Amino acid sequence: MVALKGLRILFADDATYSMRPTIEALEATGARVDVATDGTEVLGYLRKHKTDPPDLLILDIMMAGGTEIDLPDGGRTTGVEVYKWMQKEKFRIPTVISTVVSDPSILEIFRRDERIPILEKPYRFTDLEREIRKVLIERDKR
Amino acid sequence: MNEPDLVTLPPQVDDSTLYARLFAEWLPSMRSFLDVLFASIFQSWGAYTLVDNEGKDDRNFARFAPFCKAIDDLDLRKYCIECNRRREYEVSLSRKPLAYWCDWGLREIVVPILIHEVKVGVILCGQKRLEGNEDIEGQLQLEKFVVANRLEYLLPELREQRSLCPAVSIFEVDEMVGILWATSQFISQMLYNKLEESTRSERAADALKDLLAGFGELGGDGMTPARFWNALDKPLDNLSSTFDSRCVAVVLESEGKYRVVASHGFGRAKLQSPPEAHLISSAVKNFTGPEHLELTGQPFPDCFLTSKVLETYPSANLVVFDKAKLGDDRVLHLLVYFDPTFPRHNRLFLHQKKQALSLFLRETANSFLHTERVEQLRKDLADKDALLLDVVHQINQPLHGILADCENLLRPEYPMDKKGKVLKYLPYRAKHLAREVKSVQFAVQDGTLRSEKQNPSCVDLSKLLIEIGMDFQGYAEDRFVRINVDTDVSDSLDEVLIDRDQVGMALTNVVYNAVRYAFPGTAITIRSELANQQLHILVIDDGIEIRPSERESIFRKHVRTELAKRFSLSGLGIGLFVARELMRGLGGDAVVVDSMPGSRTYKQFLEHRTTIALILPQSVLLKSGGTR
Repeated sequence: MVALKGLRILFADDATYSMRPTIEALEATGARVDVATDGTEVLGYLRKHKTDPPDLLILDIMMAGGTEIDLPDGGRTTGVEVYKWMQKEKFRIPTVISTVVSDPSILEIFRRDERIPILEKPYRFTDLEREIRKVLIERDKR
Repeated sequence: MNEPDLVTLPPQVDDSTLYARLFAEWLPSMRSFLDVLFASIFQSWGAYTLVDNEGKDDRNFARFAPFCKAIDDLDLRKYCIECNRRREYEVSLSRKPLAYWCDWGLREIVVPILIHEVKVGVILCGQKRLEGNEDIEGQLQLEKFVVANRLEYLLPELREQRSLCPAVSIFEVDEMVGILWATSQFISQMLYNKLEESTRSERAADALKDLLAGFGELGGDGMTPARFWNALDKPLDNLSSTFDSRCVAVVLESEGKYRVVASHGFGRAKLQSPPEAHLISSAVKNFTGPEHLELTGQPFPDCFLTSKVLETYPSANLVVFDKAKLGDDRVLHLLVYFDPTFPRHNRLFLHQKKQALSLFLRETANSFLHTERVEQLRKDLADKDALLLDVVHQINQPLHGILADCENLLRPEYPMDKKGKVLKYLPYRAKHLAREVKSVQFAVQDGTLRSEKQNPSCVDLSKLLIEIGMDFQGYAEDRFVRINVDTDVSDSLDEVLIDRDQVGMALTNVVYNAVRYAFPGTAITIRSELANQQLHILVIDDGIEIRPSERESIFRKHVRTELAKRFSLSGLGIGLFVARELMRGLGGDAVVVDSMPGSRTYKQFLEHRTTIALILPQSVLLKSGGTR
């Protein structure tokens, strides 16, 4: 079984208050969790760690703000924009989507990419662990 | 509305065939009536007949005198037919009755039957001699005709037969002319009535079918008010062809301004037609209201002809003007130009066209209003869907925190010291979720909670403020924000008479908002004070600005400022709405006191110190006090 201990995880979510228990649960497994609260912070982090990227990205879809990305719908889909940026830059990190978005059109963007599992909040920590392991196994296969 | 006097309209040559056909078709149905009529009229007259437009006499409506039989026996009938034809032609030109000497020197009368000045038949009557010397002219006519046609050998027989015909005075002939002329007009009116009755229902049915077919397509999927006027082109085309009009235009009047929203045929008219069509076209484009079209002294007082048309083409057909209301503040006008040179155009049916055009206009107005209503419903549904998504977001987010906290408590590997913290803040998370649910419920019920029975009690205000501050401690810590509760209040504010739940909920919403939009590293202050004999509970934060123009609108339901949306995506925009509604229900208010710029920036946002006050009336104060 793939262990979470020692993993470096970038946890991108603007609702840190609600997500704090999940972050702490991840930390309790021995993972190191860095937190980004908007799209700009995510991109800044990924650029900074281009040579030593995190092992895993847990990405929220609806994050606030960020001036770096031109957001056509007023900034409601920064998770989508981060994902598109990663594809454009061929930045391949195992990613799990963690969202409360129920808009099918947004979720469809990620559903087309079979490598990216989607977890809809509220989800159980065991579900998160399972999806993390799956994407890490996929990564190791490549 | 007065209908035009159709019978007085000028004739059109193309109508004669139609009228004659209708006359021939309907004559049999009038037989029993005409039998009685003719029997009473022709009691003392020898012969009469009805002749149609092609010169054929209808023997159902004929009585022939002995003289006729004699003419037939002598094989002279062809002369009678020729004589009759000449006279019929004469009256078709003059459109007046005629009394004359026939070829055999007898007095005859021919009276045209006219519809709209078009001859559709004649009544022939006569075979009378005149009394006394007046008859000499008839006798001479017989002699002249017999000689001219080399019939001298028949003269004695013809004289004898003629002498057997009854004699009348010249005054009796004139009297019969008058009677027959009135009878002819009576028959015309009967024919016209039948014609109108029949064509009205037939044409109206056809016209309605065409019109309604066009409107059916206007209600298709994806129709919006913006597309409606373009889509109206097809029904306008139907209208134009059905009613022989060259140009049709729909003009929308709104706030005193007129705009041509749909038109058909004006482009073509401009290219193909005589100058008057061009003038019509520009008159419609420059249409600035009914006063520009209204003319006085016209036969259609409640329709309007364009002055341009009449100036250029005095016998022009109508630009029919009608209007229909679009709600309370808009009016639709319909302008139609009937080309006067259009051969199929038939003035007889003008008033029917007018009715159908009015129907078209009303149908247009109804369809447009329907489209607007559908669009509004669509928008409302989309808004509702978006709201539901936001509600899901707002509820699921704290729910996720609670679920994760509970799971952590049950995980053996989760550190004990952290479990203690979880236990401390878990109730606040639950309260946070309950607050969201309550706000949504309040917004959905839209003010019904405001009239809920109030339950005022003596409340220690300091305690309430501290309690609410504590509720947000975990949330604030997570956002690196401190909450200070200023309990240094005067004696008069130790205890107040308020509805604890309602004031508590209003304050909770305001504090939640402050924590949410405060910059990390700042402090939020909650404090109470007396001002103008009222109790003010102030919430002060250093965060994003509330611009002056937004200080009222943020208290409206589902309104979030642009800065707020950029700073924090989720949110229903109901927290401050609920706060104000509750406070107003208690006789107070919620207001933005100010939002003053600071010097720091966070991300792209400039810090502003914002103060929101919950105001309660003097009546809540148990002790009198002054401003601190």
